[in-house]
Amino acid sequence: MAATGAVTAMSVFVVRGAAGFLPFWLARFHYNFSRPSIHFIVLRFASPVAVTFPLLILTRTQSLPAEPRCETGFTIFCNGLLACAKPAVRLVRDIPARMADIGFLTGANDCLNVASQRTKNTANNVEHSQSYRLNQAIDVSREDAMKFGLTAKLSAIVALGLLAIPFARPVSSADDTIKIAYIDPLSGGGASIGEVGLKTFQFLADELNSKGGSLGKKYEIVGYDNKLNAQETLVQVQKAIDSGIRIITQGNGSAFAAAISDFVTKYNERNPGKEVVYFNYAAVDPVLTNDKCSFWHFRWDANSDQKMEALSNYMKDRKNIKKIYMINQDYSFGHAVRTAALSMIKAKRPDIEFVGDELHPLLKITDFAPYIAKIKASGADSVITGNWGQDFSLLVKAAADAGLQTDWYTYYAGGTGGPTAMKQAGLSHRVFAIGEGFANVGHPPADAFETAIRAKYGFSLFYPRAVNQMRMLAAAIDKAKSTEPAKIGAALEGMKFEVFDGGEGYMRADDHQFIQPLYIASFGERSAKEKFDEEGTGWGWRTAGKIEAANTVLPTTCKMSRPAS
Amino acid sequence: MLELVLVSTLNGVLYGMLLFLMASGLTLIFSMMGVLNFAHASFYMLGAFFGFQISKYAGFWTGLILAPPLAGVIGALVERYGLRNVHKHGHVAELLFTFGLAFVMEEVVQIIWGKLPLDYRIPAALDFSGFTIFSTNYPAYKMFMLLTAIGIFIVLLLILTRTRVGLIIQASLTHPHMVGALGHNVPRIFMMVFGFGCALAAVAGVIAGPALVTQSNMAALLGPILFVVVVIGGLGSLSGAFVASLLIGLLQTFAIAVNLSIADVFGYFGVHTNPVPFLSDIWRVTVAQVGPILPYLLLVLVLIFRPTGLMGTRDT
Repeated sequence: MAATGAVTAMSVFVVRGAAGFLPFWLARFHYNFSRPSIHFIVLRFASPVAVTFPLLILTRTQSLPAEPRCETGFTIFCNGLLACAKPAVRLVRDIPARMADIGFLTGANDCLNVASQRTKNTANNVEHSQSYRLNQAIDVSREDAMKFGLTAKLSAIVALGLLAIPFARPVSSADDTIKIAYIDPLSGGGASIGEVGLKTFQFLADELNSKGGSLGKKYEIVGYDNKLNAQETLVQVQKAIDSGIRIITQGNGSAFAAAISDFVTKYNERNPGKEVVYFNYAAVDPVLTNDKCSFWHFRWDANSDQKMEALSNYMKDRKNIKKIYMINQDYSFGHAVRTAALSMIKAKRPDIEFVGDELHPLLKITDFAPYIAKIKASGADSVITGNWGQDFSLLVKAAADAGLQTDWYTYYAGGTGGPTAMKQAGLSHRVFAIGEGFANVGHPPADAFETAIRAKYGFSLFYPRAVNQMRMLAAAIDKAKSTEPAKIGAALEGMKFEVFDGGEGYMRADDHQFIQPLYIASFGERSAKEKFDEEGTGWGWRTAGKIEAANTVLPTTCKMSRPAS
Repeated sequence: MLELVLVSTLNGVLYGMLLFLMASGLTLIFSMMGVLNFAHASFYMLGAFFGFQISKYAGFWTGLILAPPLAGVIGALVERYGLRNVHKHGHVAELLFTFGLAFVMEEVVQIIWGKLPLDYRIPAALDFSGFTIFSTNYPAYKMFMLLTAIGIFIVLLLILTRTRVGLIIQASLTHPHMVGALGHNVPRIFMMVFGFGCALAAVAGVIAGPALVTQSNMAALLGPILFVVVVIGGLGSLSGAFVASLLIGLLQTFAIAVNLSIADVFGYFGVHTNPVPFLSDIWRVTVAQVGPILPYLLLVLVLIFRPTGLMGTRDT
C-alpha cells in the first residue's frame, strides 16, 4: 500500500455509547476516510472512561463525495453532529492537548456546545469557520450555521443520527418513577436464586404501587445480571448509574457486596449531588457493617455473626451433637461462617469435636458426591453449612443419593431446590435454618402476603428481609419527603419498623445493620397448624426457636463517616 | 477409610468416563483435521438440552436414543458448511470459528431454554439406590452412567480396530492423502467423524444432564478440563485420552478427600512455624481446596516435560 500525498484533513470523532456508533459507522463512508487523513476516535462508554485511538488513512481514492467535511481544518463529528474549526490544528502533537477539552463531553448537547465554542474561539484568527447541525431538536444558537446540500445518503445519516441522539443522552434521573437497580446473578449457577429475588422485588414494588407509590411516584425494579463476577458487578452498577438509577440493591455474594459498597462510597465522594445508595438484602459478611462500613450501605439481613450467635446458642443445648463437619463456599461469606462457628461453638461447647472444615469453589460444583463421601468417612453427626442456592440443593441431593444421615445447621436451606432435596434425603426435622422469618411463623399479615406471592409466582417468600427493605424505603421517602439518596439515608438511620413476621426492628445508626428478631426453624412433616409447605413437597417449616431483636445485638467496630449536610 | 477410598474411586472413575466420552470425540477430530474444536463441550450441552426436550414428550429413553444423532447431524452440518469453508484460511481461522461457535451456541440455548437450570429428572426406573458399600448408597443411575460410558468405549474401540470403517479412519488420521488417492472421499470421512464426535459428546450430555445440572453454562464448566484431558493424553491418541480421563477423574475426586496442607507436611518433621509469614495463605491451604486447579498444574507439567502427552506421538 503506497502512502501518497500529504495529510489533508484531521478530525475528531466522539462516539458515545453503542448508539453513537451507528451514525459514525455510516458517516465514515462519506467523510474523509477515503483520503489521506488523520482521525482520532474517542470512544466513550462509561464516564469518565474514554478510549482514544488514532486512525491514520494513507490511501488515496479519487471519488471524493461532496458531503460536508472540513476541507483542511479541525473537524468535530459527534453522534451525528458536525462542526469545523480552522486552523486550530497544524501539528499532530497539538492534538492531544485539544483532546483534553473534548474528552469529557457528556452527551450530544455538550458535544454541540463544544463545537460551537470552538467555532467562536477560533473565529478571530480564522478566515473560514463553519458549523453544521443535524438535530433540530437541540437548540443552540449559532450565527454562522449553514446548510449543506443533502444527498440521499446523508439523509439516511440524519435520520439515524436523530435516532441515536436520544439513546446517547444520559437519562435524566427518573421524574415519575423511583427506579431500583437489582444487581444479582441472572445467568449461570446463581440464576435460579437471582431470578426468585428479582420477582420478589417486583412483587414488592407492585404492592407499593398499588397503594399509590411514594410522593406520587411509582416504584420500578430494573434487573441487571452480574454473572457472579466482581468486575461485571461494577460494570452493571455503572450501567445502572448511567441510566439515572440512584438506588441499588444486591444480595448474593458478600465479595460483590463489598465491591459495590466501596464503589458507591467513592462514586459519591466524587459526584456530590448525584449520590447513589446501596441496599444490601442478603450479603452477610460482618465486615460490611464493621471495618468496611459505609454511610451509603444499609443491610437488612442479619449478619453472619449474628446468625451464628443465635444458631450456636440453640446448638449448645442439643446434647446429641458430638462431631461437627463444616462445609462452606470458598469466599468471604463462607470464611466468615466457618470462623464464627469455630470460635462460638468452641466457647459454648468445648466437648464438641470439629471433624471437618471444608471450603469448596462457589457455585461451580455440579456433583457433591466426593464431598459427601468425605463427610461420611469423618463420622460427623452434624453438618454446618452456609451454602446457598445450587450449592445447598446439590449438596443435600448428593447426601440423599449416598444415604448420609446427619443433622444440618444451615443459613439458607429454604432457597430454590433446597426443600425438594431435603425431602428426597428424608431428613424430616433434621435440617435447621436460621433466618428473619419462615412461612409457618403464624403472623396473620405475613400469612396473607405468603398466600398472595405463592398465588402469583408459585414460589414461597424466601426474603422476608426484602419486604422489610422495600417497605422501609417507602417509609423513609415519605419521612424525608424526597427521593434524594442522602436524605433517604438520613431518614433510615435509627428508623424503627414493624417487621414482616411481627415484632419491632430498627436500623442501627452506628453501622447501618438492621436489628430484628430471628427464628430457627426445622424442615419436615407438618402438623395441623403449619399450613404452608414448600415446593410441593408436602413438608414445611416449623419454628424451633425465636431470638428477640435485643438478643441479636453484637458490638460493631464501625466508625461511620457521614456526608456533611 | 476403606469406604472413602472405594467410594472416591467409583466417583472418580465415573467422572473420568464422562470426560472420556467427550474427549474421545475431541481427540479424534483433532488428530484427523488438526482442528482443536472449542465448541466440543457445547455439543455436550446441546445433548443435555435435546435430551431434556425429547424426554418431556417421549420419555428419557427416547431422548437418549434421539438426542445424540440430532446433535451429531448438527455437528456434521457445522463441519460441512462452516469448518470446511473456514479451513481454507488456515488453523487460526478454524480456531476462531469454533471459539465463536461455542458462544453462539450458548446464547442460542439461552434464548430457547432460558438461563435457569432445567428440571431434568432421572428416569423413575433408575431412581433407586443400586448397592451399598459399607454404609454409603450408590445410586443406580450412576451405575447406569458408568456402564453406558464403558459400553461406548468398548464399542468405539472395536469399531476402530476391528472394522473396515475403523481402518479407513485410522488411515485418514495419519495418511489422508494416501487414503484420498485410494478413492475414499476424505472430506466426507472428516464430516462423519466430526458428526460422530459431536454425537458422542451429546451422549455424555444426555446421561450427565439429570445427574449433574442441565443449564446453559454446563459447557463452560466442562470445556476447559476437556482440553486438559486431550493434551495430557496426547493429541490424537484415543487410549491416551482414556488414561488421561481416568487420571483426571480420580485426581479431582481424591484431591477433595485429602486434607493435607504444606503446614501439615512440615508438621510431620517438627516444623510448626511458617518460615515465610506473608505466604500464610499458601502455607495452610489444603489439597482439597486446590483440587480444582490440579489438572491445570498437571497440564503445565506435561507440556514442559512431555510435550507429546502421555501416549501421543506428535508435538502439540
